[in-house]
Amino acid sequence: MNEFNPTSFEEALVAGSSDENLKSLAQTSERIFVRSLDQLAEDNPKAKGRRLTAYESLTVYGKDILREVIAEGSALLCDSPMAAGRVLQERRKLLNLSVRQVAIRAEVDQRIVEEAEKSRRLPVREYERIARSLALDERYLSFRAEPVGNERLAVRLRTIGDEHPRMTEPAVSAIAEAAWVAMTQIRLEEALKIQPCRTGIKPSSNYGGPGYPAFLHGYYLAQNSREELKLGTGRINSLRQLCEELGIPLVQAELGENLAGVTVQINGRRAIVLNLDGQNRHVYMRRSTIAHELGHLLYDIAPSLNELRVDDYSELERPVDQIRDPVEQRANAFSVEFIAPQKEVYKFRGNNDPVGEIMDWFWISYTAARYQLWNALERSIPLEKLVSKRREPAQEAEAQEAYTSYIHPLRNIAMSRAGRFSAVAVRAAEVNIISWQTAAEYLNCAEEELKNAADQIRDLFPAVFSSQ
Amino acid sequence: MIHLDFIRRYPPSNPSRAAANQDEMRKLTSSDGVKLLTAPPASVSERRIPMKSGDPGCHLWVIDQSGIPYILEHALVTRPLQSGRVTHTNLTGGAPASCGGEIWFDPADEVLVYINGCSGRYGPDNSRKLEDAVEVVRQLGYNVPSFGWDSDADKPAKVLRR
Repeated sequence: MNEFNPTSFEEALVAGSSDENLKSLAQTSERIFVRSLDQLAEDNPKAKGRRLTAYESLTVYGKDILREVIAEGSALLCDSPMAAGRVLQERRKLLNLSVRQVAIRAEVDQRIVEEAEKSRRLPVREYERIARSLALDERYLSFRAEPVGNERLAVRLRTIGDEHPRMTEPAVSAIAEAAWVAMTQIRLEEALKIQPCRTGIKPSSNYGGPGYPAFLHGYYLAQNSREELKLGTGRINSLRQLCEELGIPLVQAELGENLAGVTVQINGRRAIVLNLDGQNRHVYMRRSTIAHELGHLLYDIAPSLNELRVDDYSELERPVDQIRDPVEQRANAFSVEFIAPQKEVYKFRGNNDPVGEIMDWFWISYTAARYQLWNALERSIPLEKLVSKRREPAQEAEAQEAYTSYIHPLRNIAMSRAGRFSAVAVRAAEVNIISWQTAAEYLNCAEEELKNAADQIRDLFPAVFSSQ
Repeated sequence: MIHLDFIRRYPPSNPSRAAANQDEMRKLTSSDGVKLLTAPPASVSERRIPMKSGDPGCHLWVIDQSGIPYILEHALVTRPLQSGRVTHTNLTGGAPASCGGEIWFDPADEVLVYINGCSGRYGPDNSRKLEDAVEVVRQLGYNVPSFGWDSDADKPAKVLRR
């Protein structure tokens, strides 16, 4: 148990220091609190609940609750005894998910979900798992009577099925969980003061018009992006890394065979959910998907880019002039031009296997390479003549783009959390923003395992730790 | 288990925390509304069914050498208390007690009371002790739904849940 230190966070708390001072002292405090569904208490080795750092406890539950814990040993968190179950059930129904699907995603027994929805006494960690699978901020469960976390996104997820009939229940559930990952990553990065790289890129409301199709503007925006981001004209080795540098969380998920990717808006920030199923199993297709979503995220204006945007594979590989929706047409053109600028592609025109070489050079898909070369040649030769037998991706491309779930030091880590999220969680634990127990729970491992793997995670994502 | 057995098993001890102000150590008496819990019906002015700690109708109780003194948390005491409400040490004057918590008296059923171990000063430190305290009240003739133990916090539960 932690000893009272009169020069520490506790003293400042009792003395009524300013919020900023308290926050900064909380971050240096080693004091740990423990939370159940209903109360926050002093840490105790026998307690089985969620261990929270002083910073976590202060920023979520506030100083009055913490003062009470220090004075009385514990404080009531519960706003209304039935609130936790009601919030979970309402969110599940809003997402149109079955109890079974939520149980699968949360990796709990179906009976646990049913009991939780009745606000029965269960370990808080079971409640947390269910909340995360529903894109809810689990820290506020029971503390607030209303749901915290992406209400508008949830509403949009419910209606998206009408527009995308192939949106299955597991896909909705995977997107919700991915949204939680993105939301948490953004929150932790903000607490860590990790600033996204600033660019001069501004959204563009130009979706073409008579005589100027949207795809032409997509090409222009791609060229503009390469300039703004100082990428030159060569291959972009890692679109994944580029997203990270731009502060755009990229979350991997298994969304079935039809959806390529999804963009979600979370508290004014945007994230990409990248499908690893279907055609995206091929790294070049995955690059096209990321570039397409980047086209949306960097340039679409708010009305075109609402809480949730879903892209099918069928859209992504379609030639730009065959896409009716100008928003999608522009994003597709952006994608292909961003990955392989026509000016550069043109230089391959006299080569032995120009399409194959373009694929190898720019790490671009076969279909996209063909069309890009065809367009670079102003369609002066039949498309049927632009063929290649090459299909296999360069091994290096996999290494650059693949998130690290295959090589991640944590064996049981979920695919959605194996990316930068894992590094952000480790760094947040290192500086007391979250407890090691919380970080370990996020990454589905034991505390000791995480501490042992921390150095390897640091090596995989040096940028997350570079601003220390 | 009866009162004396409980005292024997769990000898009274001093409050586990310092008082927030001097008034918390003032011992209230029957003229302030302190009563001793005996066989039902209990003499109370406010009967409510609780959902959580501190809900309206909350009475504080302790088990000490005198028995089970209790008082309405928001009792109108003869001389107002600095913190505006009664604390468990007001039942003991800061003297040792074996256990403490909150109790509500059912409005429709005179033998039905709801109990928890929520006391920052005398609260039980394990579930067995809470169960034994509840048993003492049962032995007086009450039906006692207990809030139970919150294993996640390793504290007496603050919410009445199934």
